[in-house]
Amino acid sequence: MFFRNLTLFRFPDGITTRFKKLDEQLAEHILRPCGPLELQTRGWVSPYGRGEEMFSVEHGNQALLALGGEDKLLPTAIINQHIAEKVDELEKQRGRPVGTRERRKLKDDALTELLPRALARPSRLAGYLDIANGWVVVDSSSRKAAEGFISALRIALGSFPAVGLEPEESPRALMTEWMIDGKLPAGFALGDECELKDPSDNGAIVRCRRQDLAADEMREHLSSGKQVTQLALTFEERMRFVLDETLTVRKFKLLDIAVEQLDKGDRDSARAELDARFVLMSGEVARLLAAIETTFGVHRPQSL
Amino acid sequence: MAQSLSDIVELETPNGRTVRVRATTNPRARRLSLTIGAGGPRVSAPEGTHPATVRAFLREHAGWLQKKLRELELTGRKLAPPVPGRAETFTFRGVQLPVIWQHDRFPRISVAPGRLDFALDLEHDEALRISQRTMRAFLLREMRREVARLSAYLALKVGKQPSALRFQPMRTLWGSLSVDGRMNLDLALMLAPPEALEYVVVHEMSHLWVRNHGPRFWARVGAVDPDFETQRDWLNRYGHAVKHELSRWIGDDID
Repeated sequence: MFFRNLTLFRFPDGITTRFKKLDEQLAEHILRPCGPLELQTRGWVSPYGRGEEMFSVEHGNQALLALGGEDKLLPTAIINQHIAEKVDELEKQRGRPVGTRERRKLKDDALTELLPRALARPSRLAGYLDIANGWVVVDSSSRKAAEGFISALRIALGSFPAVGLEPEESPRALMTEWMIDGKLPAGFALGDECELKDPSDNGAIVRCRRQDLAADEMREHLSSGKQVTQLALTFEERMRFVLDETLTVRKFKLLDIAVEQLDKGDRDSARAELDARFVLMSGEVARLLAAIETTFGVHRPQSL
Repeated sequence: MAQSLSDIVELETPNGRTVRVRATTNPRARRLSLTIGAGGPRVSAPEGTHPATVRAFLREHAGWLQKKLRELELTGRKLAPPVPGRAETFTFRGVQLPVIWQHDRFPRISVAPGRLDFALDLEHDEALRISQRTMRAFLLREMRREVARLSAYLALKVGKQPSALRFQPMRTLWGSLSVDGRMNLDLALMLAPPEALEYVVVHEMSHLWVRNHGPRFWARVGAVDPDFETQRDWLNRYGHAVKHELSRWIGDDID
């Protein structure tokens, strides 16, 4: 269950009482199957998997949640083909072309006819709340999906003032400095991947993988004024990831040194395994988030 | 920006001087327009405009162009972009600072007491473009630092906080607030005095309560920033000079 990506949000102090009945509030908004004419549904599922009753897995100040979803699979090509067949049929019958308004109606009819027959693709998006420190961590690199998670949480809780990160220090400028000087804040070390961008409009973009970031060809790009927009880093030799200019953590992976304590445990159920993994991961991520907070000046919002 | 054509048209002004005007066509343009920007006078025309129409338009407005150019000369405002290595000044947060050029492989700008240190490879073929990118990046960084702190502090007075901050050069506006509470600010505000920047931030944050410019809105602005009228007047009077200086330094690719 280790997260692969971390999209981060912050919420203010002073709203911790709202999480007291979290499990019951989520239970009121559980995932239901897609109706015949619905394109998609979202709702909470148990992080432990199917058939379980708990909707939030709480350990200390952290609560793991899972947002389930069903999306109808109805490719545009199929709708268009369906409409084209109907149009051909009508034109043959009447001997005149079909107008725009009628075509629009045909599209609505096609959706009504095809949607109930379409397959629904299930999805699952995990995330957790760090209640003591005011973070929401969503396992996705897509801003849209992560915002969807926060919206669903807002609906379940009534209101939830979570906001995206607005750092005081420009991540672009800091990461560019790190790459030029080779001096990184305590705990961080350069990896082997990066994306460089020319800051002017429609400027050049350079993406590298498995590349020595201190090599001369990289320094040539930096000397021409390009800036670092994504940078592979390791933190305390316990995790590696790619940090982007919006402070989204991509390709997150705990390294052997962090995971080895997990192997020693003897757990007999899937539940116990998930608990152990969540506690381990959230503990490691908490240290990274504390470092991100001080390095980039991502302060916890105030309660207003 | 989809500009397909750029030509130079020579125009004789009423006092007998020949002025070179850059003529561009723009598919989004609806009418002919004549402006004076960092690259000098420029006429923009809708696609498919006949060159004779452009020339006739320029002849019609030659008097206006001459008057404006004379005004610019009188105020000492420069049109050409700054040349790296040559004596220059830059207005940072309302204070005019001499630019101290330094030769370095990696471009970097820092503010020292009474001067602006600008390091870059002065012998690079593209030194001008690099200096423009570096200036843009420098201002974005400084503005983020300033506005993130300022908006967190002002949130205590205003009672609401923007959901996100965005900074970019803007042609006519100083700032805007989107429906979902994102605050957009003009990068040129980093050249204006700090009080003017603070006024624009208060103005946009007050829109979180009132979405129009009615009396209730101005009452809110006045409650947080009693001196707002002075700042508004300053922006009205000197704003175009600030925007002009920014476009000189970061290039003319303003959206």
